[in-house]
Amino acid sequence: MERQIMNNKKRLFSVEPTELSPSEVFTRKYTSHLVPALKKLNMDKSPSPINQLTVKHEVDKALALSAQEFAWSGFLLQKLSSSNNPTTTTSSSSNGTRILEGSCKEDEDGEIEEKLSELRKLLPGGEEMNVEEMLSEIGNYIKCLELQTIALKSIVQDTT
Amino acid sequence: MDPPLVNDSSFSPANPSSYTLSEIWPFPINDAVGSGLRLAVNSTPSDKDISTAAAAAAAAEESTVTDLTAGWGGRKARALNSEEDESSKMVSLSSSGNEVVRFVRFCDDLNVIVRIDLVESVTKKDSGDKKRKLCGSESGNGDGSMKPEGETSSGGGSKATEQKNKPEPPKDYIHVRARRGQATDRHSLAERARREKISEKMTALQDIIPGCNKIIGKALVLDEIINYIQSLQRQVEFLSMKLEVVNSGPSTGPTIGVFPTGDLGTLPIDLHRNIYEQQEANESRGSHPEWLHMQVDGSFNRTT
Repeated sequence: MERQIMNNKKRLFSVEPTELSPSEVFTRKYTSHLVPALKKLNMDKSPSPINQLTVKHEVDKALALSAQEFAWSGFLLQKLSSSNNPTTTTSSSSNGTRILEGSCKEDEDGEIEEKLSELRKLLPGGEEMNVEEMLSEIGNYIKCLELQTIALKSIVQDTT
Repeated sequence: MDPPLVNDSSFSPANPSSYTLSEIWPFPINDAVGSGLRLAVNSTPSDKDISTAAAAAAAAEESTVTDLTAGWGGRKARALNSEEDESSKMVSLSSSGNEVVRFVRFCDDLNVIVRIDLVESVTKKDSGDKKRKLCGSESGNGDGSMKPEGETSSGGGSKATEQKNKPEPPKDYIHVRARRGQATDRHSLAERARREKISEKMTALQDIIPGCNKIIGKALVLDEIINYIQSLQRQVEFLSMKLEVVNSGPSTGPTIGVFPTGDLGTLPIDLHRNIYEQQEANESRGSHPEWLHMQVDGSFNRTT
């Protein structure tokens, strides 16, 4: 009964009732993964200093789980499961200087190569892909990141 | 050196309006080529004859290709051939006009080719471009690719006739079509196809990333992409920190605790509404411009 009501209400929001665009699909998956995880975290939150890492961890995990059709999500999951410190974003500050160094190089192709390797570091699993794959994966990754940002913003808004 | 394919009926030995080769073709050339051109020059002024002459010259060129190969390099000779085919077509199609002009134009085409080759070899900065443009089509395609090469080079040829003796090579062909010159192997073709795929993907990425449409040049676009990804990742980090603060607060709102875990269909409506409102707000604000629109319209799949 409740589910019916939910479904009816859902129809108000989606343009076509039966068809979900990929961004919608992703967003739903994402929130459905993340929010319960957060709730769980909230319930058993005895060690407080670890909380930041754990939340980030959950965030990344939710991202990876909701985007499993892409190659990078597998790599991201691997990274997450191997260590509790996901390094996807923590290296961003060190990369900033790298780009400046790269632009001083005279060789054009060398510049481009360096930027491509930068990109590879940004993308989870980028090191193992060749250039073509990486470029297409980056497109997906960017979109999922954007959707993730939006979802996170609304979750934060909801709870404040 | 008389090529056997020449039609004797079209050539008169003493033509009062014949020209010395040096007038028309100021560049030093092989004797074989010179004789071929001389034959063309000395023909009688009639359309049909001109076309036969041109064709004969072309045929002459063809027969002397093997001789020239040693001297000029296979690619130039072949290019000459294709260029001449097109020029001869142009010559035969031109309705009226001075015979002088026609042949000067004809020779101009040849002129341009030689210059193009020289210019190409000297002024190429980007090695990738060089490969792209100079790669020959002779490898496996034979006649099939000669035509497209002829087509593309006829575009360049007509340009050349409009501006006489302008050494500007037709540089704006982006297709995989092999331009004159370099390699006969599959490797460079495959590499060029690969490069094309990569640049296709780069343009697709340019569509996704806001503000990247106006940027030209791989390096800058890549820069933008890197910056964008980094800013997105930083945003996510920041938001997750915020979330962590919120989460560890005294009370999480009723919206989070309402629904059962892991059930896709029963997310609270408020959360959904929030998310879609956010998306719409972003659209109107323009901070995440067109791509979002594109996503909702289902063109997400383009980049996957």
